Amino acid sequence: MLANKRLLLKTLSARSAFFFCSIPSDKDLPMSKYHEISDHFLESLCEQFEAIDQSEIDDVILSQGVLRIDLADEKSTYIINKQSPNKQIWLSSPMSGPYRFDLDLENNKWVGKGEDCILDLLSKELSEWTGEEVEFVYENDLL
Amino acid sequence: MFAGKLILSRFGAPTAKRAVGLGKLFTAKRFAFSPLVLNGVMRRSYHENVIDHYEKPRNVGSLDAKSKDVGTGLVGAPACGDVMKLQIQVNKDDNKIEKAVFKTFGCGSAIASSSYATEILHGMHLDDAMNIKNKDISEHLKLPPVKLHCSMLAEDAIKAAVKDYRKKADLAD
Repeated sequence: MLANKRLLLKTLSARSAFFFCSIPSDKDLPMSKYHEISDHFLESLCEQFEAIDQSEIDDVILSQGVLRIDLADEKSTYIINKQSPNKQIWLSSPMSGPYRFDLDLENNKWVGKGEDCILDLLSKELSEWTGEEVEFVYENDLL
Repeated sequence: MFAGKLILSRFGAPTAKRAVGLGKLFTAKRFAFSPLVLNGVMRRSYHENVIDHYEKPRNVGSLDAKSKDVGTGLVGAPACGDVMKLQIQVNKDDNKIEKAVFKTFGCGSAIASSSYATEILHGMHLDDAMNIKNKDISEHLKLPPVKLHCSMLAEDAIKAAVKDYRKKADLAD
């Protein structure tokens, strides 16, 4: 009887793990903290994008956790958004496609699968796009 | 499990969620005939390749997950809005995919991505299947920036299915 119960629990947790294995971020991070950090991050990123030369970027809009940057060629668009259920930041780049980033609390960075930081990626691509050195930084302790 | 519910966004853009193969199929309104420019404002629209898969999805179904010839990839989460189950039946002699089926809960782009994935998987060798990139899927379906993640999820589903089959095959040896 006890063995059956253990087996049942094991099966159930294995099945739910199947779903949760696609939500890899820090489960100890409270949702309120995630929202605070990610909102701050997107606002800071929005300001940094707005500081870039206006002739290279058409529009920068931050609304409801979605940051949209239209480039001057009228067809390329960056979308950087919060993905709250996963506690992630998602990026869609017109140069290199989709990415997902988790919060690395130890190093205070948003990192992807290959330990690549989102700001390194954006700095590299925007530098190539504008032809000038563009560097995005994490502002303040909250990211 | 998942209701076949059609949710139209308030902007009229076809960001509908639909469960394909997971409940009653809900016939979608024909967005193809909506005016592209409404009151001087350009409306976003799905590419005809996506609409084609949405209205006529290919290879919807299930294989026996317990079978040693079948690999199952289950990715996504309902909370995120997209869940894809992709299954492959592999010929153990030449490691080629004989059959691929899918069941997806999500937007039209997610359905089209997984449907297109099962299309290209037919007859493919397992190694080639692992080399399928989300770019191949998103370029064919002409996915807009915000929907590129659907193609990535489809790529994850393919890899998960291949890994599952290989794990089973290794255990059997």
